[in-house]
Amino acid sequence: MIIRENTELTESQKRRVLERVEERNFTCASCGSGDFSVREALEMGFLFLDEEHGTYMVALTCANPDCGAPRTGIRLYRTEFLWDE
Amino acid sequence: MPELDFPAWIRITHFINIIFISFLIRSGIEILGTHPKLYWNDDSKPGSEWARFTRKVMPKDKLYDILDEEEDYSSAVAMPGHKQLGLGRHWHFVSVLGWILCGLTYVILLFATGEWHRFWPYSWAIFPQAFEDMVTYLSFDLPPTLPGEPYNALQKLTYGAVVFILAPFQILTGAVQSPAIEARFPWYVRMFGGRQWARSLHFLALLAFLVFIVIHLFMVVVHGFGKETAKMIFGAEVYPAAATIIALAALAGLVVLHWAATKYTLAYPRSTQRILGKVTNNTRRVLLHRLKSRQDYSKADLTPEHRVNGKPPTSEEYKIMAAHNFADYTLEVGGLVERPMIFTLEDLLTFPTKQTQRVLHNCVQGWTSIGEWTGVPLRQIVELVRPRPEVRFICFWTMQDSGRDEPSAPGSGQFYEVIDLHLAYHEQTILAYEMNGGPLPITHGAPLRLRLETQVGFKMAKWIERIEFLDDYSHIGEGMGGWREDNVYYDKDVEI
Repeated sequence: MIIRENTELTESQKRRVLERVEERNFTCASCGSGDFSVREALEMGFLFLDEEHGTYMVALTCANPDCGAPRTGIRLYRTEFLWDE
Repeated sequence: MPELDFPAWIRITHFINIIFISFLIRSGIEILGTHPKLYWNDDSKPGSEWARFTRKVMPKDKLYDILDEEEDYSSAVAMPGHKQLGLGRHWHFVSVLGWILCGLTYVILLFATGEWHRFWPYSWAIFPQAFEDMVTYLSFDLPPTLPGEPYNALQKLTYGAVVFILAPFQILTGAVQSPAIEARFPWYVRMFGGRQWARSLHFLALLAFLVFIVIHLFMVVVHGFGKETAKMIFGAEVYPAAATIIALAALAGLVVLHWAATKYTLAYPRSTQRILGKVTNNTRRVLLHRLKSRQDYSKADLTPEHRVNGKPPTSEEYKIMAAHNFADYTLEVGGLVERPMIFTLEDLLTFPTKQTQRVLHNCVQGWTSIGEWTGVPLRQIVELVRPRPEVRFICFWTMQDSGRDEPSAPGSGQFYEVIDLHLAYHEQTILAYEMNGGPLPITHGAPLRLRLETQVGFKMAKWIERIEFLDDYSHIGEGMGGWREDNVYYDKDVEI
């Protein structure tokens, strides 16, 4: 099930997300791993009163099979990952 | 025809009626101010209102809810004023009960004593006669009373219309606005053209009452204030000077009563909630609490853009969970049960029973929308966890922290609502995970919300994370049966 607010990402968009993950040295809060697979993105600016327009929560799943809490997310601006080539 | 005059019971009910109707009008304005827009459609589509009493403009690029649209009316016009819908509702419902009892007493005595003749138009000739009376008034003269009667033709028709048409119409259109009555008798709502038609008509009838009161008072002055008030004080045109003094003192007393009631309400809201709530809650429990929803709107009736109330949780955990399509969501069901359980979203989606219903949603503020909701019947969850014999209530704990997520509302803390256990057994009480054929939107409570069709919207907790079975709720929050009951003085049982 994909909720209606989420945006499915293309492969190139997912690749850009991983580039941002690497740039920021983003790691899994549960196991410390830096390897992730990218899922959908949730636009938060309209829905949440504390978020700016164009801000997304991009779903990341930790690639470590032993991770106790593999589902996490990274906050990115639209211009950082969400365009088509 | 018996001799028609002004017996004591007419004078007493007239005086009591003034008190109740003045409270009804002010508390009605308070209720209107909470959603100061009127519609001719049950979608309450933003921009489609035919009347608005606000200058607020809502943003298009940010989620707003009904609390953002609420107006802060002065206590000079609203009871109690200052965005106190819960307290305004208490006053409105207590006043309406008093007003109806007073009206029933009046009508019963009217027929028992033969005084009903004062309103009965015996001949069609009374209509042209009433027109002539109006022309006489407009010519700055006074028309004569009908032979052997206390009123002229215009007065007779006007008073008769107020007593036998306007007042019952106001009661009937008020009843349409009860979610329990709407849910149990959808045909009754359709009879008035829909819920928002009824709300609009209720408002127009209020205007009619106001116009009547202004003209009535003006005419009392025109006919002779002392002479006319003497009829309603002494029962005859005697002692006009004394009548004038007593009438003016009574009017001053009415103003003082309103001032004192308003001051007390704003200074002691909890006490007001408890005292007035005792009257209204008991009446509601007797008349409306057992009604069960039998709604089945068609797909064509569905509102394209269902209105929203409440803002989604802003916690990081919620946002990450939403981005993952709520894959990590769990619903904990516990408290006083023999078999506490935890359900994943997948458990709920694959539950053996999947129930869909198309129903009218009633917000406590007055707007409506029609939606299709799909989910698990709550009674089946209850049967699985097996509440202990002492259980009487169910508490729905949500992921919303009102202080953090709902700055338009006063108060803080985790949002929760308590319902009576027996409501869980209603056929259309479900835990919904779908809306209008798709996953439940975040704005409407994703991943799980309650649908309880005989109550107003705020009882249908959204973003539910935990369900707790209770024998008592006095230890939760302020002990009033819900976050809104604790913080904005709403009633726990809201069938109207």
